[in-house]
Amino acid sequence: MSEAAERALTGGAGKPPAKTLRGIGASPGIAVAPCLVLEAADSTVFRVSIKSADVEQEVKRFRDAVDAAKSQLTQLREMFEKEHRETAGSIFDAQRVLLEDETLMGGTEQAIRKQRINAEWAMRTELHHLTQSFADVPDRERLLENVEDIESRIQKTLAGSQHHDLSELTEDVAIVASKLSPSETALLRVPHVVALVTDKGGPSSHTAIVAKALGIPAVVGLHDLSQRVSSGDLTVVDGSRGLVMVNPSAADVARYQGMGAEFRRGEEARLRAVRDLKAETLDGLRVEIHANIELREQIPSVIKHGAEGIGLYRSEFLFLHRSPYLPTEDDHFEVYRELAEKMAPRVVTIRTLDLGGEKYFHTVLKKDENNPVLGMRAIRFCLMHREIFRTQLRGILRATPYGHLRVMFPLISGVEEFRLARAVLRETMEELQTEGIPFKPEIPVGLMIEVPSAAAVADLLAKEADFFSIGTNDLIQYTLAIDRSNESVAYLYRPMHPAIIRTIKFTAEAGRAAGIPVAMCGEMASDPLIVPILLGLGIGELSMDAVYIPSVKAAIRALTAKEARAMVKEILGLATASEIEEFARREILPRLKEAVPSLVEDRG
Amino acid sequence: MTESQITIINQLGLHMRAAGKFAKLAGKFRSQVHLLRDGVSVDAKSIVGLLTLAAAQGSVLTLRIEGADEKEAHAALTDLVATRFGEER
Repeated sequence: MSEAAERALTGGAGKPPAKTLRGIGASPGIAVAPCLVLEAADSTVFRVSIKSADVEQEVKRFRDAVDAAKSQLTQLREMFEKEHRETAGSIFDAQRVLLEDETLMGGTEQAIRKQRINAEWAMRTELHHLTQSFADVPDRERLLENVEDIESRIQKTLAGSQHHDLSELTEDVAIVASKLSPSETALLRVPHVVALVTDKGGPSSHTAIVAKALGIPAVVGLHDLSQRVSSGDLTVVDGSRGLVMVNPSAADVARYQGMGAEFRRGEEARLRAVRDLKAETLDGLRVEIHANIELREQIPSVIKHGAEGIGLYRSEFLFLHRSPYLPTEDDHFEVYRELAEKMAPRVVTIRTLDLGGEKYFHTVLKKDENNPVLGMRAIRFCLMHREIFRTQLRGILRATPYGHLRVMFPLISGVEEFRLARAVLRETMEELQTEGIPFKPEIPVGLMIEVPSAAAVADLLAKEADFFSIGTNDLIQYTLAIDRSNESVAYLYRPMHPAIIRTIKFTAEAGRAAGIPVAMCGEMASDPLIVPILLGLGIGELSMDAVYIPSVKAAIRALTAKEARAMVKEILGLATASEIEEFARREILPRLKEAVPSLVEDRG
Repeated sequence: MTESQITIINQLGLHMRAAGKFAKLAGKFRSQVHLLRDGVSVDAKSIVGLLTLAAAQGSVLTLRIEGADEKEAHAALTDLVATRFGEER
């Protein structure tokens, strides 16, 4: 039996003993918070506080879900009984009896009312307690399977009604999971997630990248921790030392809270020192530094880190947080207006809906694609579902008077697709004009360069677009034919592959020839070791998660544009990714050692 | 009030399906139905209560029924247990 189960069985008699576990520190900092054990980040089973006024509504939501489950079970039983499979029928009958049991359902309703929590979480904790009391039941495994089956039946129904998501968390939590996929970690970029802890993963895993981007501590490589803690257990996460403490003593809590506060003060001071410095090379080449964001709540952090604009607003999060409903035109408008106003006079680049691929499930997407990364996603999806696209474009256009907005289409594969998307935008403008709704018709319209075919015709696209932004994550995936989520080919994912360097070079040259800005908003733009190469290739805007801005800025300020161009000249003569990586370690790293000390720690 | 000893004779004991049948049948009577084991008494109309008895094959339980239809309830419930809840073994 797990220790957590043992603890639950003893009925919480006395405080469980504190445990300290050693893992790998993946992102520095210290947090003290109750943990939330996540089975899947898109799961709806986590704690959300409900307003008193909404409690009865929540109870009703639960009852409706139970009723739906009951009628499903009755149908199942009848079906099996018609086929004279009495045993199978009686299983569903027993499930139904369980569902009607006052101990179980009454307990959940009581928990919703008393603790003012969401139905999903109330039921999860209630069933957890219940199964603990079934310790010696005959044929226990079968019973637990059935309880799980009942739960998932109800949870599914609850998820289909107005479901809750992590952005509604009202108290700080430390997320604990076995491992986190990129799309899961993306959903964790919400307020109140104050630490990440995973069983698997190394210091350069996706969890580490995201935690650093969020400026929260992370510890990875903790073996089976997620099996050994229960949601609600108080945890100390020390990402600087790679420690996780479960159920710490009051003295430890006080000590770590003090250390956490001190760490944050140090970070703030470090940020203030570089915030207002220009991103300019020693010989005066100015680079614009922008931030990638997905939530308006990130704006204060973006400004604090010294971003000169938003280079990428991932609007799909607006859709995810409304799932299964679609955002309305006003939903769009309000978010974009707030972004425009709060960032003004700085630029804000809205990327239109980039749903699909390996990420960001939403109920409007088909689930049965064999190869979703090459499927109906992003701009293809928008052009197929014009109403969804137009609703978003209207929201963007209506927000243009409030600041400096740009619009950018994702996954454009060539000139034709860009023209189609632009035509929809033009039609939308005409609509607004007819309706007498004000907007700025001169809004810059750009596209992501992330499909190799678009990169190959960058010179043609540059004649029609107002700007480019290179999305390196997908560009690398498509150019090198690497599924980023497939661990067995992950070793081939090499940003410094000569093919990638050449693609960036061609795109930058095409932009320069046409006189349009060329930005980069993929992960490459946030790597100080790669930044000098990007400068040498002629990228004029770099957009990244805000936390990377100080070190990228420091790297730019440590170099001359002249030497960056000389480095690129040499790199273009190299034949393999390994040779270029080796060159970066040998020639670039020593130049940046003083300006970006953390680089040596990471790559030394 | 009627009270008697019943022995669980089916192989799986008072497992989920058996408990489901017992609770459902007990629920059809107006009388109060309780099952007792080692001094612990549970409401026999609640499957959750029955399951917490953890009664394996061979367990001896006390069946206590009180109410207007206790005789009928007693007959029906003891019959369900004696016929192994309709299970083969």
